[in-house]
Formats: sequence, C-alpha cells, structure tokens
Amino acid sequence: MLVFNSNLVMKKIKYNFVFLSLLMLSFQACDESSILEEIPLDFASPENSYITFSDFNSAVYALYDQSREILSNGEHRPLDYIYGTDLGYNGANQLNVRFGSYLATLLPTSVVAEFHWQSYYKVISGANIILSRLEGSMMTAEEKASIEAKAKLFRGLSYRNLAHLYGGVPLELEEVSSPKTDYVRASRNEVYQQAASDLEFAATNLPGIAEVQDGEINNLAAYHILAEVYVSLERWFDAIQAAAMVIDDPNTALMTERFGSLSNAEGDVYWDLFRRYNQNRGVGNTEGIWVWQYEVDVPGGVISSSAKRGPQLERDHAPRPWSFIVRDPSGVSPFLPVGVSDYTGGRGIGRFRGTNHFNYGVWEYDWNDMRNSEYNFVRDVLFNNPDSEWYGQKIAEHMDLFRQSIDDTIRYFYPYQSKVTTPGQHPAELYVDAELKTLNSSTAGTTYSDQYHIRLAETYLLRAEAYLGNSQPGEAANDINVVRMRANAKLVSPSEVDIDYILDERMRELGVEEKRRLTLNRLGMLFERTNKYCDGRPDVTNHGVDVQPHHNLFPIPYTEIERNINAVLAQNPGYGAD
Amino acid sequence: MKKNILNNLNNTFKLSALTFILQCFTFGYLLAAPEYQFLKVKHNNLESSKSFLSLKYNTTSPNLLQAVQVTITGVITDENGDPMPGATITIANSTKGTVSDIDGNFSLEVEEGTTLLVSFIGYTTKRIQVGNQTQFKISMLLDDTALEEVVVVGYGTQKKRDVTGSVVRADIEAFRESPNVNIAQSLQGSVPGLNVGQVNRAGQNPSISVRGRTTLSGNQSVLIVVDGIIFTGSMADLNPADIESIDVLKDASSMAIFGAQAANGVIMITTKGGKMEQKPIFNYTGTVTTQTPTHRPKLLDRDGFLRKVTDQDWPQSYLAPDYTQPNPDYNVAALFEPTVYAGFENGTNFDWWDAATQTGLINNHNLSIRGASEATAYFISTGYTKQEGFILNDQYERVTARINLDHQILDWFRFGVQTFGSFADNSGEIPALSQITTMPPLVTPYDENGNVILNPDGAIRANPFLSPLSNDFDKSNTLFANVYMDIEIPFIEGLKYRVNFGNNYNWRRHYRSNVYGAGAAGEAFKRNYSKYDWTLDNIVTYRKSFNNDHNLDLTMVVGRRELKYESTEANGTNYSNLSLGYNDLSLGQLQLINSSAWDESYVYQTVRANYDFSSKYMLTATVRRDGFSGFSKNNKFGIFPSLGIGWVISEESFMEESILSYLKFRGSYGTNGNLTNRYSSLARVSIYPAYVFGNGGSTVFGQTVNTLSNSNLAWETTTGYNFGLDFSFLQDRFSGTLDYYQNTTNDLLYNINIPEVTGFSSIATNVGEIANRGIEFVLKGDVMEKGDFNWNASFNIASNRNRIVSLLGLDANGDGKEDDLIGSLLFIDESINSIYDYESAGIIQLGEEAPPGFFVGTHEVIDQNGDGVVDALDRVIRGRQEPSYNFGLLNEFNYKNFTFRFFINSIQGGKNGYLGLNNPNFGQSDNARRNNLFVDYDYWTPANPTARYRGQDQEAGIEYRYYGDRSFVRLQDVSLSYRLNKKAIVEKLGLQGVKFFISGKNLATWTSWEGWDPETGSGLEQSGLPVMKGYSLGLDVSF
Repeated sequence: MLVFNSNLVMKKIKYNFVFLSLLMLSFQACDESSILEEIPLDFASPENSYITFSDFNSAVYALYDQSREILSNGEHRPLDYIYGTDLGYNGANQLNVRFGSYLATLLPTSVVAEFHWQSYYKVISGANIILSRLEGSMMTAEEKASIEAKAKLFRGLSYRNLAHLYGGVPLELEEVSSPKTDYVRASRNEVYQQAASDLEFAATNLPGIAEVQDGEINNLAAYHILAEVYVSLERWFDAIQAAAMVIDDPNTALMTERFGSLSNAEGDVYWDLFRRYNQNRGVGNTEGIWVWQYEVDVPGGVISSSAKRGPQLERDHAPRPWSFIVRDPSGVSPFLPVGVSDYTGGRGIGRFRGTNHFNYGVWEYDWNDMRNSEYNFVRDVLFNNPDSEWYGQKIAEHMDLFRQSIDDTIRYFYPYQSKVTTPGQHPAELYVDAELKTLNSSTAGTTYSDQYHIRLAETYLLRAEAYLGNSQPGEAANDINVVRMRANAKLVSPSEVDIDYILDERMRELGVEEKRRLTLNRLGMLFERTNKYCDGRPDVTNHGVDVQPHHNLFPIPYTEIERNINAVLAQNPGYGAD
Repeated sequence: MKKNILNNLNNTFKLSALTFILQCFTFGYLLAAPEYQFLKVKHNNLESSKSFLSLKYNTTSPNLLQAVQVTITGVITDENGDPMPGATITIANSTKGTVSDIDGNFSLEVEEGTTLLVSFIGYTTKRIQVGNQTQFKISMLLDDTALEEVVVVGYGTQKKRDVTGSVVRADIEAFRESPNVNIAQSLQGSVPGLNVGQVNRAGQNPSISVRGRTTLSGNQSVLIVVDGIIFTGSMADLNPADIESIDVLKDASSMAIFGAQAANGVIMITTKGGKMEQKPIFNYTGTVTTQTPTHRPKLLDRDGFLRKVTDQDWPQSYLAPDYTQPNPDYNVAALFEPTVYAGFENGTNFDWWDAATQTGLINNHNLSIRGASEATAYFISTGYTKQEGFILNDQYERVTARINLDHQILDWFRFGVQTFGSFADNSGEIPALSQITTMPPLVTPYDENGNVILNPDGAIRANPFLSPLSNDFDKSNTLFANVYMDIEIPFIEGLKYRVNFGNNYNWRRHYRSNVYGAGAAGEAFKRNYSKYDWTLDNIVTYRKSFNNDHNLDLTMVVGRRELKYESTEANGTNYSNLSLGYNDLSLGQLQLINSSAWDESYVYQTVRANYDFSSKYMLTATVRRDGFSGFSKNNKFGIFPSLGIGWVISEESFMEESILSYLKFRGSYGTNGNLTNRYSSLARVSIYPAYVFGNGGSTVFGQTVNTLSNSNLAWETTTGYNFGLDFSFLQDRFSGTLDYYQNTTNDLLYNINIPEVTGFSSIATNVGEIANRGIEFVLKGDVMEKGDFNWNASFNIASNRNRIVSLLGLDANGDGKEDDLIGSLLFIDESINSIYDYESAGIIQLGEEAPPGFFVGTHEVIDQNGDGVVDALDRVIRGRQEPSYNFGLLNEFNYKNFTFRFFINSIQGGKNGYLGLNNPNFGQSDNARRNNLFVDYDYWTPANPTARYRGQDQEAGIEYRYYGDRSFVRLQDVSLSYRLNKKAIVEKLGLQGVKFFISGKNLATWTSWEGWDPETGSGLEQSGLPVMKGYSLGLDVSF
C-alpha cells in the first residue's frame, strides 16, 4: 500500500515539475513589447508614405480630387457658387437651402459656410504636409521643385478662394501635428499676398501646357489664377502680365472652327466646346487651360452609369418638361413622363432657374450672338412622346397651355444653357428605352462630360478687367472683342466697357460654367448684382432672395469659432449681434 | 511625476507577477501538512468521492449501536414535487449521514429524538425532529435569499455570501418561457443597473450597458465572458436554452479582475454542464410564437394624402385672409408628376405598408442531453430557431450545437471542453423602409402586368420592392471552444492550476445579386469576413483554511489574447446577364475588389486574494496589469487595483434580537481601464483611387493623411466605490439588496473637435473627468403562501446620473468656472448626453411678422441672450437623453401545477430626462409634396395653429426641434405554465417531466411617446421599425 503511494507521489512530482516548467515558460516566453507593437495592416502611416516621388505625386492627386469635389463634383456644394446670384435662383419653393432666402440659408451655422471653409483648409493641409515633408524625402532637387510647385498651386488657389468667399482668414502654412486652437484671422490682403507668393512659385516652376497630360496643372493655369489674385490686389500691371502669359502662349487659342465628337452634327463651335469628350487638348481643344477630369465607370473618374454621381448641372439647370401634366386634345401627354436624352434637358429637375437678366437681359445687346443660338441657349423644344398627336411640334406652338402656373415657367420649362447636358450622349446603361432614349430616373442627371475649370475665354475677360482697372478701356474692349468675335457677336466699343459690361459678358460667355459667386464676391458686387437681377420665386413668403449687403462675404462657420477656444476668430459683420 | 511612478509600478509589478507564482508554491509547501497527512487526506477524499459517486453512505458502525436505534426512510422532493437526488441528510452534531438516491429516497439508522438536517445547494436547509415516525416525506424549498448561491466572479466562483462587490445573478429561469431569440432579452429590466435595449429586427442584438456611461468615446460595450473566456462574438449566437446562469459584475472591485476591458461592466455567462445524476436526462423544448407590431404608426391613405397636399399649398388652396375656407379654384393635382397624376385620376389607393409586412412567426426547438457517469459529466444540445419577421424578407434562422464535457482522468487531473457552433442565416433583403412609408398611396409598385416599376412616383427614388427581389445569401457561422485542464498540485493542499485555451472563430459570407441593383444596371457581390480570437489563461488558485476561521483564496492569472480580422469583397455592377447570380461575378462590366484586415493583442497578469474570517469578515484584493496594443507607444500598460470588504453584521452577537435574519455590509473600491479603438493613436494615410487624366485614361491613386496621431494617448481609468447591504427578514421570507455607487472616469478618451483650419476635424485625446453615481435596490420574497397557493415577487429599481466634472481645465473667459467644450457639446456639471438646442417661442402665425430667416408656419426660436439676433449663442440645455430611473417587477403565482408569471419593465425620465429627438424632417417643396406622412404627424396649417411641427411648405434657417419624453411602462413578459404530475407521468409514460406553457411578449405599453417605440427611441421615423408583440405556445418534456 505504502509502496503504491510513494510511486504515486514520485509520479506526481514528475508531473509537477513538468507543469511548473511549462508555467514558467509561458510567462517568460512573452516579449510583451513585441506582442503589443501596433502595426496597421490595411492602411499606411505618414512615416512611410512620404518618401518617393511617386508617394508625393499621390498626395498631389488627392488635391486634384479634393478641389474637384469643392468646385465641380456633386449636386450640392459646387452649385453654391451659382445659386442666388445674378445668374439664377432656386426655382424650387425652398427658402432655407440653395439661397432661396439668404437670411435662411447663409448663416454661421449653415452647412454652406462650413463646407467650403473645411474643404479648402483640407486642401491647404494636404499641401502643407507635402511641403513640410519635402526635406525628408528621397527625391531629386528637380522632383522636389516640381512637387513644391504643384502643392503651392493648390494652396494658392485655396487661399485665393477663401479670401474671395470669407475675406481675411487664418493663415496656416505648416503641417499641423498637435491640436491647435488659437487661430486668428489675417487680413484679406495678407491672404491674397500669400496666395500670390505661392502662385508665383507655381507659375515659374510648373511645366508648360503642352508638356503635361490632359487635365494636369501647368504654368498657364497658375498664371491665370495669379492674374486674378493680382486683380484682387489691384496690381493691374502684374495682372495684365500674368494673363498675357496665358493668352500669348503659342499653345493656346480660342476655338473658332467646328471640332470634336459631334462636329458633323447640327451646331456651332461654341456648342462643340461642351459636347462629350471635347474638353481636353488631346482632341484638339486649345481653349481649355485646366479641365476637371471625369470618366464614366472608372475608379477615380467619379461618374457612374449606375448611380447619380459627378457634376450635376444637368439635374439642377435643365428644366423638367417630363413632369408636365398638360395633355394633348386626345388626352395623351405630349412629353414622355420621364427624362429623355434630347434637348428637353435629359433628366433635369428644373431647380436652377436663370434670372431674367441671364435668360433675356444680357442678350438684348445682340440677340444673334452664337452663345444665344438655338443650340446653346435652348428656348423651345419639340414634344417627344410619339404617342401624342403633337409629337414633333414645339412648345411655342402651344405656349398658352403651358402658362397656367408659376411652376410652368420657373421649373417645367425655361431657357437654359445646353452646355449642362449631353443630348444623345448619355451613357448607354442609363437608357430605359434605347429607342426613345428615356433615362433612368434614379441614376441620370449628371453632366456626362469633363468640366472646364479655366478656359482661355475667361483669361481674356480677366485681362480686360485688369486693363479697365488700369484705365486702359481700349485694351479692355479689344480683349472682350476677341471673345465676341468668335461668337460672331456685335463688337463693343471702349466707351461701353465698364465692370457691369464685363460681368454681363462673363454671363454670356461662361454662364453656369463660371463660379459666379467667387467673381461677385471678389469684386464686392454680390449684393449689388444679385439684388438688382435676382428676383427669386415671386410666390414665396418673403419675395426675392432677400440678399443683404453683408452677404458679400460668407460668415465664418460658427463651429470654427466655437472650437478655436484659445483665441477669438472674429465673425464677419452682419452675422451676429453688433 | 505621476507617469514615472506608474512606470516604476509597472516594472515592479512585472517582477512580482513572475515571482508571485513561485511564492505561491513556496508558501504552499510551508503550510502543507507532512506527507503522511497529505496521503491520509487524499485517502479520505478518495473514499468520500467513491462513496459519493455510489450515492450511498455506509454508515453502519458497530461502536454506535448503544442507544435505541431506528431505521428511518424517506423521500426528498424539490419545489415541484419531483424527487431530488443528491440531497444530504445528516444527523445534527455528528458526522453521520447519507445522500438521497436517484429517486430521492434515503434510509438512515438514527437514535430516537435526534434532529436531521436536510440540505442541498440552492435550497433552504430543513431541520426534522425524529420522533416515533419512521417514514418521511420531505419537500425542499428553493432558497430565495440565495445566500448559498454560487456566483461566477471571473476566473472562479464564489459563494454569494462571501462576495464583497456588487454581483447579481440574473433570474433567467423566470423568462425561460418568453419567446426570446436572444438571451440578452431575458435580462431586459430584470437586473438593476443592467440596461438592455429593445430589438426590432429578426436576430438582432440589443444594446447592453451597465450602470450608466463611463466614457465619452472609449469602448462602450459590456464585456461578455462565456465559460471564463472573453467572448467577442454576437450574443445572438448563443442558444438561450444552453445557458445555465448569468451573473453581472457591476462594481469596480468585482470587475477589476478583468481590468482594462471591464469599465463598462461584465456579464458572465455559464453554459450548462452535466449534473451528478446517474442516467442521462433528455430534454425537449419547443415554442411557436406569432409576431405583430406593438404599435404601428398609420400612414395617410389616398384621401389623407390629398388633404396633406392641400394643406401644404395653403396659400393657394385656402382663401385669404384667414386661410381656413377652401379655395374652389384650387387644383390639388396641379403639380403632380404624370404618374402620380394618373393614380389621382384612376382612384388608386395603395397601402405600401401592408404590402411590405406580414404576420411574423418564430419557431424554436431545442433538444439536450445531460448527465454524468463516474468520471465524465456531459451536456449536449442542439437548437433550431427560425424567425420570419414582420417585415417582408426580414428572416433569421439559427442552428446551434453544443458539447460540454468534463472528464476526471485522475483524481488530481481533470480536463474538458465547452464548445459550440452557431450557424445563423440572415439571408434576404428587406424593402427600403423609408420609401415604403413615403411613397404616395396614389401609385403602385407593380404595373397592370405585374412587372415591377422602377420609379413608381416618377421621381428619383427607386421602387422599395426592388431590394427584396435580390438573391441574397447571408450566413454567419461561429465556432467556439474552450479547452481546459485542471490540475491539483500534489503536496500542497488547495493549490490548483488551470489552463483555459479559448478559441472563437466567426465567419460571414454575404453574397447577393440583383438585376435591379446599382440603379437597375445590375449588381452582384461576394463578401467574406472572418474573425478569429484566442485566449490563453494560466490560472493558479490556492485555497486554505487555518484554524477553521481563516479562509484564504488566492487566484492568479497570466494570459494573452489576440483578435484578428480580415475581409475580402468582390463587387460587380453593370450586368447584362445575371442568370448565374453571384456565382459568376466575372460577367459584370465593372468589377471592384476590396479587402481589409486588423489585429489586436492583449497581455495581462492578475492576482486576487479573498480572505474571510469566520464567515463574518471578508476581504477581497485584486490587482491587474493590462497591456493593449491599441494604445500609444508610450502607454501600452495600465495597472488596476481594487479592494473590497464585507461584514456579516447579523453574525454579531448584538444582532441576535434583530428582526433582520441576515444583514451584510459590503464596501469596495477599485480602478478599471477602458480600451480605445485599435490604431487610434496612429495617424492614418488613406490611399484611394483619386483621379483619371485624359479621355479614356486610367486611375491614379491619391493619398491623404486622415487622422492626427497622438503618441501620448493613454488609458482611460474609471475609479469607483460601491457600498451595499444584503439583508433578509421575517425568517428569510423577504430579502433584498441595496447598493450605492460612484464611479469617476479620468483621462477620458475623446475625439475632441479642433478648428478645421488644421485640416482635421478632431484628434483622439485624453480629457477631463466624468462621474456616475447611482443607487440600486432589489426586494424579493414570498408575498403569500396558503396551501397550494404561493405568490412571490421581485422588485428592482435603479437610478444612475452622470455628470461631466472637468474637461480641459481651461477658463479662457475668466469667469472662475471651467469652460464648457461647446464645440464638442460637452458641458461642465451636466450629463454626457445633454440636449443643447434652441427653444421654441411658438409657431409664427398668419399676420405675425416673421423675424429674418423665419417664416409663417415655422417655429420661432427664443433669443435667449436677448442680443436681438437669433444664432448659435441662443442654444440652451433642454434636458438629457439619460433616464432618471428604471424599475422592474416580477410576480410569480403558483397554484398546484400551475405557474403564472408577469413582468413589468419601465424606464422613467423624470424631469427633462430620457428625452428623444422626435423631429422627422419631411422636407419642403416638391419632395414634401410627394412624400406620404404618418397620420399622427401634427403639422401646422392656418387651421391648426397649435401644431407640434412646422408647416409643410417652408423650413426656417434655424429649425427648432422637438424632443419627446420616452418614459414608458411595459407589460413585457407574461407566462402561464402547467406541469403534469410527475407520478402520473413516470408511471404511465415513463417520462421525467412535462410542462405546457403559453406566454406573451410586450403585450401592452403605456407611454406618451409618439411613433414606433419609446424604448428604441424611434419616433415618427420614415425608416423606423416597430417592436414586436408575440404570443407563444410551448412544450417542455424531459425523459
């Protein structure tokens, strides 16, 4: 018995030893710091992502995308630049959005004020990170200069636009690595000067327009933006010089002959400028200086054939005859009840209604202006329902029937710029009926083409402004007439040229293509021009868009004031208690 | 300075962690008895266990045959009258006794006049005087005071009596008959301090929290521990029928053993195992449950819809000046789009909601076998649940299987597994609900040929019935296994070593194809996600009693955990042919692949000492050192100590005369940590397809820095104390618990908002301090007992308030009071979820002048600071989202074989508490015109000047928002069961037990909240979902 027990004991001691050793091993085996070291698996860190030329180019490409997002891509914010200006107003009966009423839309707490501020500073921050990491990179001096120039172009552009919109804003030129909460506003002049210095570097160091691929930034884009900054600083001579760099460049010229994808169709050269595939230099377009690039169904190209993405000018500016409930004598709707890829405006919803000044006023000067042709400023359309006995007839032939309510002319049909749509050129997947070219209501509405950010015609008009500022009305008239000549329009005499004439000319040439708010704000004329020309819907509670003088500047976003706890970010006048 | 001390502590702790175990052994050796004693003890143990297993004591001992001996026999039954095997019958003041056999029978030779003590764990011990009676029928009663109850406290168990912290065992038995697909639903409202949210989707997991929110943006989930292993899976994967018990650890001291992950409370789930029974018991339970909404907000029908449009157009549809007389020239259909107009003309009145819903049904079947042989105890089960939801296609199916095995190889070596598989099927896509509730009743989803219409109302929104047409496959599988090994270390009595190796593997396959997907271009995808985590715990325990009075229980754990995740997605759109569905994604013209992965690690050591002196004074001390990969380089480790004391006052001599039969004081103090999200201290660079240059060009990738790094991001720590009283009175007929606690959380993990001039909107950081305090009270007892009738009840009430004590410690405005962080909506001395918003000065009526930015029919906002301008400075704290208190009341009535139970659950807001946003925005202009509304939506018109909501036509620049009171009282569970007489069954059917029951879930709710449900906080929401009411019928058979 005892023997058995001691055997057992011996056995147990043996096991015991084994377990003990195991236990000790399991404690000692842990190299705690290596177990707990955190290595991200599916994202990169800044330490290893800003090394090579290719890394830095990636960082620059993001700036393209972010800038495109602010100024062109999307239904909402890029259109803040045109709603509630002398160009047009919110035709839907909505007062607290899209500047239906300034007093209900443009508040320190509204998303309009927040979005543009945040987005431009995001671009600035991206540029700052690039600039501050140049030194530690493995790039050659040449590569460094190229990246620096690109980053500075985006930073300069952002500061310029911030100054246009908000006046003086805080200047941040470094990569921020700790929570900073003590910003103060620089003066508007200081911001412009900062923009000028960035853009001067960019203009000097960026390659020429013929040396870059389509859509890439180049020295001419920098000179154009710089020219506008100089105008804002009233450095007229510098502005004229900078604009001349663009205009005199042998690689640029206004298009004067038919060209591009639909050059054999009925139309004119101005119409050709806005057809699908026609914006880039690769197709022979020498007018585009900087074109926002879009591509259908390619990652990074934004536009999709299966979802509504990309520039939404068609959706907002094209009217919506498809929603008329007017019937022909046999009770059939003369328009198909869905959007159609024709001159009726694709899948428009008739929200951005041009002002009467834009639709009619500016054309009084010369109604036969090419930019007002039936191709470019659509004022009448054919009924598109083959089942209707009116099929093929025009609205104009039945106009009285369509003037029953305010909505008929404010939303259902009004003159609009055909540059916002692509009749017959919508992507194939969007057609519900390929023969009738009816469009999917959920996914259509995008303008399916590349979008001009800077076009040479604008450079002429910008230089005209500089000449005017420099008291050279003759030269100003000459520049304007270059643009008008291409449009076969009546020429202007120097005595007729003033800032209002130039603003009207910009309407005629650029229309909804222009970021109108930037122009009016930089001139301090938003209130004056909007008040004068923008009536808004006559039937809403507060008539007009009730724009006030203080709306010449956006409010500083309230969230930003609130978060900046260690210093005071002063609000613009008119947006709070005095 | 503080950091240095902590670092030093850290290092010291590391060393002591290593040396402790050695000391454990040494200490054990010193205390151990000489070898022969050890052998003797062992011998005794062997014998007793042998006897125990044979379930019979041989008590015949010749030297006791002196007094008058009688042989008594008897049968012991449980509260249901069923035989009770394994009950201990001892003779008072002796070591003599026996154990009842499988049929509850026993026989024992005793002296006349002796007293018998009959006991069983969880039951009140009975004293029986032996007279001249030799036949006994002894029925045992469940010990309501449950002081002998054993609770699971983390890496071990403890008698409830010895616990110094706040640990509550949930009464899941009371809810066995409720149609709860998820075990968490059985905890709803019944445990004070445990807040379980409501569910409204099939198979959904409710939200769970313990004792208020202790963090701002740190992890907020409760730690769930299943059979000793931290469970990262879904509660929905656990079959409720497999669960033996659930214990909730609420105070800092009891949670401290889990340290860094425990700040939000711990739920300890123990699954069933084999019991000491000779033969296996098979059990089948089955229920069928109907599902209909508790409350269904009605939508406007055709007439209502047209009236609504007329109201929106009030300036045209009614006549000036007071706009209450209809304008005969008004045409309600003037602005309808052609498709809506057609429906208007042909009298269409379609009920979208009816078409999207059905009566739901839950089918539930469980089969289990449990038992034990000499060395092996087992529990094997399988369960099947099929839930067809109320919403079309909202279905859930779950198959579970479990094997729990415990095998004693040698008398000192045991091993086992607790393992389960759960196979859930969530396939099916529900209709787009926000479209269902807003489509005008004038249009229909299908044309006259039965074909689906892409855009029924002619506008941008797609037909909500397109999504149910998809072929959707969504299955989630979980495999869980905890393999353990228990060793009693030789030579040192009471020293044990245990290894837990827990594994949890979950993978989800989500595949879908739909010709109407991606804007009708056709969409298909296959997405695979998998998650695996493992835990390795080395647990050493040492239990020792000295002089009968001093009891020491030491636990030490050294462990590691790792969690890994990965996903792969293949997505396609633009299919001209989807006949092969998701099985041939290559037919998509556009193909997009995605993948992601993460990994996180934990390293920890912990020590706990429980000491008690003559069951009167108790002490628990715990220290845990935790390392988590998610913290910044400089702060990987945290140390979390705690201390608890207990004093059983009723054991003191001065308490002998008290009406309280039991009174215990508990007090504890401790610190826990909280985790941040993995990688949150690192700056992230995201790389994405950014741009395409040129016509027909290819993608170039862009990169941006998305977050700011914070290399000092450190642990958030919650320090708290808890004082509690456990008491019982009237001979233990009533018992209760009272707890008061206060928790203070420091260095709160928070993404503080910063000026966007920096390029970032926030940074993860540690700020300030918040405090939670609360009180919890439970009272239960036998209210009435009369013959065959018995009524017992349990009531609990809990209240918690939180308050922000400190934030950045700044006083920039120099008013002597710390500044709020308005930019992050955090306010000193207010609760975390304060509602900071504008107040209404009433709706602007016709003829009144609207201030700038406001319109007739919109709410005017009060200019609180009186500066003449309404702006963000005019926001005030209007209340808070947290409730004031909640209570639950469970009543149980037994009459003969019937048991009737009902449970009432309530959450109350008190003054300005438990407020929920109930301000659906139905837009304005043509979107509002197209949208259908709920009947209850009380909008302004000139004829309805006192409406709750603004008019339909315009929205103000600054919108006032309505918050409603979510307080409610709910009859949550009702059940009636009938148990067949054991004898009749055993004799006639050869069964062990049969029970029939019917039950009801959420049968009635009393609330002033308008909309879907107060508890989910869903108001008149377009995409809201109702909470389900259910009636079920069930059967429970054991054989």
